[in-house]
Amino acid sequence: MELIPILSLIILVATISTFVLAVGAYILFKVRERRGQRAKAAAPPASIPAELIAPTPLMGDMGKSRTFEESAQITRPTGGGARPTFFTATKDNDPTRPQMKPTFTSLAPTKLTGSQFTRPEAPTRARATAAPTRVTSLKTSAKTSETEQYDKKKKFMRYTAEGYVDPSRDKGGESNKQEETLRWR
Amino acid sequence: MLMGDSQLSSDSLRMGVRHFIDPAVGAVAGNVKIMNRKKWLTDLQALEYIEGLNLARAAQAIAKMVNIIPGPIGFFRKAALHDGGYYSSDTYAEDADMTLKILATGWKIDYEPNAISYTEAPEKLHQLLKQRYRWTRGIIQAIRKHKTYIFNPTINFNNTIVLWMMVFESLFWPAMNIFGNVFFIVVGLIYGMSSLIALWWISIAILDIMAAIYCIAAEKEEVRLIPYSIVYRVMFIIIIDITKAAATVEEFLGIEMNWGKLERVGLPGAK
Repeated sequence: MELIPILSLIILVATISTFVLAVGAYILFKVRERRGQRAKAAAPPASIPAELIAPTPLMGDMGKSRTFEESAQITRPTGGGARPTFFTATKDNDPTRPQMKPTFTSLAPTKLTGSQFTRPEAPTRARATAAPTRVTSLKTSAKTSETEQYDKKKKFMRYTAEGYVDPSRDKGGESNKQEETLRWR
Repeated sequence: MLMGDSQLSSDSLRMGVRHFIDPAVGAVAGNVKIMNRKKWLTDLQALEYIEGLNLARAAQAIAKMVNIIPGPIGFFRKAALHDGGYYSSDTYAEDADMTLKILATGWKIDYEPNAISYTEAPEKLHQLLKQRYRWTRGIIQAIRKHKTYIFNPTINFNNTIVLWMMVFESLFWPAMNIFGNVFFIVVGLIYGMSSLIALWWISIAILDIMAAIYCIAAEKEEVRLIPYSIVYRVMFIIIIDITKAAATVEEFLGIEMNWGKLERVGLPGAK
């Protein structure tokens, strides 16, 4: 038997088998890759070698709210002897104290009906010479926002040596002011 | 620049930095060799690195236009890196991308065969295919990123030549090789294997052996790698080229890919 045909057969068989092997290897590679990705996604690691650091739970998160009395009892941590509390007033014993409420954002504006909205009147000749009218003549509804429900008197209390006083009642204020101005002259 | 799984030879740094005496040289590519040999797959890769990668880089270095500064060893001038915009993470072949960016800014890139870095090669076929799949898609991504230079040689002529070489290597060459082998099989099966085709194949094999002898002599490498050139031609290249072709198709189809993780066995000198 001649050498060339044998060599030819070997070369042909080798090339065909390599082709099959190459395609098969690539398919296996892709299958393995996909399997690996799925396994990674399906099974998260059982234990993570790390220290779990969690923040201290907030009262709000636990569904609790601090009452006014509890707030009043809070004292600063002291190194030495006990310090007096800074504010010992209770809810009922001091009616002049300001209301301790958080800042509210106003509610969404209520839908205005036609009767609640008044158009600005057209300026008459007499008014034309006077100061221009404001366009914001909007009737507020009976339902005011929570901010507006807030007691205005207590909101703008003035703190004096005698405690919280209504600024409108502080009639001696004007005379005191004059005295101060005179003194500084 | 040195990869974590590579080791430098004692003279590597001295040999590499000497090229920076030329102010036009922005980077130097080193010589990558396989460390974990004595296995048929890693020996084939050792031959591939010597014959396929280093010989090509030596040729490109004549024009100082090396197209890829390999990850295991690369020397960069700081200004060249700065001009190129540093490494990007938008391709899977960031070394090819960085090289193209440096070339685009007008710097020259040289090759130093005596700056040797020994790297670890995949020992399993699955790992090898994974590596080549990533390389192929990464290089295509880098080419696509710099496609402006492919069709417009007026911007940077050097970069245009380099990019066309990369297009040939990554797209045309694998396709031609696969087509040639399929043609060979079909002719052999349908028309019978004539003595002419067998002689043609043998002549190609002799050419491969001659090239291997030359490269191994030039690099002062192991002589035992020479017979691998036959297996390299018949088997290794086909396997790699089919993976390259499939990866190219997947890249153009936009199929999702990830970095994956190559298994490392550790270098003997690293212990």
